[in-house]
Amino acid sequence: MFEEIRQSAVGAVSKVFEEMFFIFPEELGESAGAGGGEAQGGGDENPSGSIRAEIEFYGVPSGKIILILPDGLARKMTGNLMGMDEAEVGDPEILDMIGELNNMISGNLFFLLKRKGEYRLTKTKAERVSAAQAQTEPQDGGMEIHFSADGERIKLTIHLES
Amino acid sequence: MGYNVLIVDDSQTMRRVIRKSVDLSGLPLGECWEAGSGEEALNLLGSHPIDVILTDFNMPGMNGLEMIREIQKNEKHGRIPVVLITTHSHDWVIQEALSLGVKGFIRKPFHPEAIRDLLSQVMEEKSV
Repeated sequence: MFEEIRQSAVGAVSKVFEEMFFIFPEELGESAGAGGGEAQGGGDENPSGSIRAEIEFYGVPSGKIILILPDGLARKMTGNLMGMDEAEVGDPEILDMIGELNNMISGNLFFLLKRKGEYRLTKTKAERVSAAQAQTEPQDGGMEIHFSADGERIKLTIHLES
Repeated sequence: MGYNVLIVDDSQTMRRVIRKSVDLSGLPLGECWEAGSGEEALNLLGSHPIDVILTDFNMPGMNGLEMIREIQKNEKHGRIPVVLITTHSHDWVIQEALSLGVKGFIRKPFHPEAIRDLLSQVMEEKSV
């Protein structure tokens, strides 16, 4: 089941980033997920911090999906999508956009999983977190998938309730 | 005179993206209004001549389907065509929407052409 979920998550991230933002994320190997690799985001080298969006899902199984991406990339994507200059983009727009992004990723993940039964998604909660917080997430385990996009790192974590 | 559109989505970003797609559609549209919730949409319906509604499903408070049920209770607005723009494409959402007479679905993320094509189809049906 885990491999099926991982593949669906990779497919969902690729679809949403490519179709909505014309950004082509590349899945990173497991070793890069622990802090290596060239892509940056969420580390000490990212002083502006990151944006963290969390959505819960209820079904069989239930769980939550957490998306973390660096402020610079979030700002750029928001500006492009809204037709605004990056300097004009404020926190309300960034948090709203990243929340919606996680909503789309989660909806598409379940669509790709093609699981029978009813799944309900909550509204995404998005917040700004420090680089240190972004690095230590998740604190209670979960399936981590790392991507590189535009030279920055995106982290998607899927927690399943046992 | 063009068709007036109401966009309902709790995400300001998504409303802006949908509005941009509507503006770029090249269709003979009139005014375009936006609501951030089902409740706000119901208020706008009472004071503006809306011809077609593009709505999200997952919204705080009333969801998209609950909003459609409320609209249909009103004789004056009950026949306004509704298009669902959503990330939720589960069978139960689609079945329930179809039973409520929803005219079409657009799954997020979408290309602007998807909105143009569906709006065009809805306008054509409405004019017949």
